[in-house]
Amino acid sequence: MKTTTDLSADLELFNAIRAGQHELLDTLYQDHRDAFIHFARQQLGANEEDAVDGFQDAVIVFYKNTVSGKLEELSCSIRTYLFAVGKRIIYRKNEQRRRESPMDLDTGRNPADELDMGIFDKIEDDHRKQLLANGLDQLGEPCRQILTLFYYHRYPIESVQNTLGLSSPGAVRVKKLRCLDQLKNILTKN
Amino acid sequence: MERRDDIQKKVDDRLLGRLAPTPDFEQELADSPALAEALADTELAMEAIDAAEDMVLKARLQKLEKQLAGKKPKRHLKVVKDEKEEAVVRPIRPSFFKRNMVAIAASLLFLLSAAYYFLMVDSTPSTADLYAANFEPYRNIAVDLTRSNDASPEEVAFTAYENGDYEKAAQLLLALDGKPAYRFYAAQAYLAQKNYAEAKKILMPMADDAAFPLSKQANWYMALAELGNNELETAKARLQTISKTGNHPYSKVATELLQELNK
Repeated sequence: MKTTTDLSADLELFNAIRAGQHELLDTLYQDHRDAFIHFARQQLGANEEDAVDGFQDAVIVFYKNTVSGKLEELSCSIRTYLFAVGKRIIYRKNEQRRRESPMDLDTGRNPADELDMGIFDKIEDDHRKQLLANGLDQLGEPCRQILTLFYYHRYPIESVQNTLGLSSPGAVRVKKLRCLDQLKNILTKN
Repeated sequence: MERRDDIQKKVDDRLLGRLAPTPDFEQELADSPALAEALADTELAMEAIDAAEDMVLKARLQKLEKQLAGKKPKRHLKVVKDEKEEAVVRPIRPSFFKRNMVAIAASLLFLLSAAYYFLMVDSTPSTADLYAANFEPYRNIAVDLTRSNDASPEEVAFTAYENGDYEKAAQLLLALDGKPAYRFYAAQAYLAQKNYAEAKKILMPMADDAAFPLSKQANWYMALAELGNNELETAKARLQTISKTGNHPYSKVATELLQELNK
């Protein structure tokens, strides 16, 4: 059971990550990894690979919800939150594995009737994401850093300026606009 | 007509959750094609950034996982007593504050920056901002630098220039034999120190001298010096000329800068 001290430590960690210390995710990962893998294998019937993969995705969801403000305040421990998110991810993975398992051809069922169109949607979605990600990869520095710090890590302009050693917040805003234009041109061409 | 930066700020606030959807915003979106276009473009850009950075974060966690695999973290142990007064051994977990003191201090600094941003933000770029966004010291193409103990005065000067020690570089470059190319770099060093007046003195004759191989570059940097010096109209006139010169290496960026100045 989590003690008050543990919860206040969680709150400090949560606030620090929200304030831009994304490297603290490593600490968080190490603190809860073993417990989650054990839980996912024992309670949810996940294999090791899915358990690890699901935990990583849960950490990413936690991070994104924290910095975007979707997770406004920590009403439970970080472990509880990670377990709740991770559990849903593992359920989905289990479901996917069940659907992908080979069918008994002797039953006479038409395999086409059982095709999971969701898999095709996922492949298409992954492909689109890869194309979009390639677009960002084509941006040079410091454009990629500026856009990433501002839109992904949600740094305020002042912090982008300090992190990248740029001369003024106004200069960052001008550069950010140009970088957005460049990215738009790349994405349109792709 | 609304400025582009103001439109972008509105779009950012909306997409980053700082501005709740309101009927007013929806109406404005319906009425303003520029706002609608900026919103759509930024949404797509954010999707790309999200996709790419999710992959980066995932790769980072996978790397961490590999490091952890087969390597149980060593933890110090201490003997404590449980409720039944029986001795049990538990790992000591260093307190969060001890582990992350530097991170917490950095976070506080970050929060102060964030507070400053939200209180003081002014989305209009000043001429100083535009200068800073556009100025990059011209790369050294004058002297090849080699690692040796008996460096020539030229090498010492350009080493200072390449290392960003612009105060020293300006002095050393001006102390060389007065070749125009060296003086051009001395002007760069002055610009890097925001000493626009000295930079202009050097660049002015070069910008007007078509025989000088870097005269086009000198013209561009002259415009930046004027911009930094708040001589807005003179800078604009020079940028117009650069912008209209088809084969000018800075014509595209001059056009962009002009657009930003004319907003």
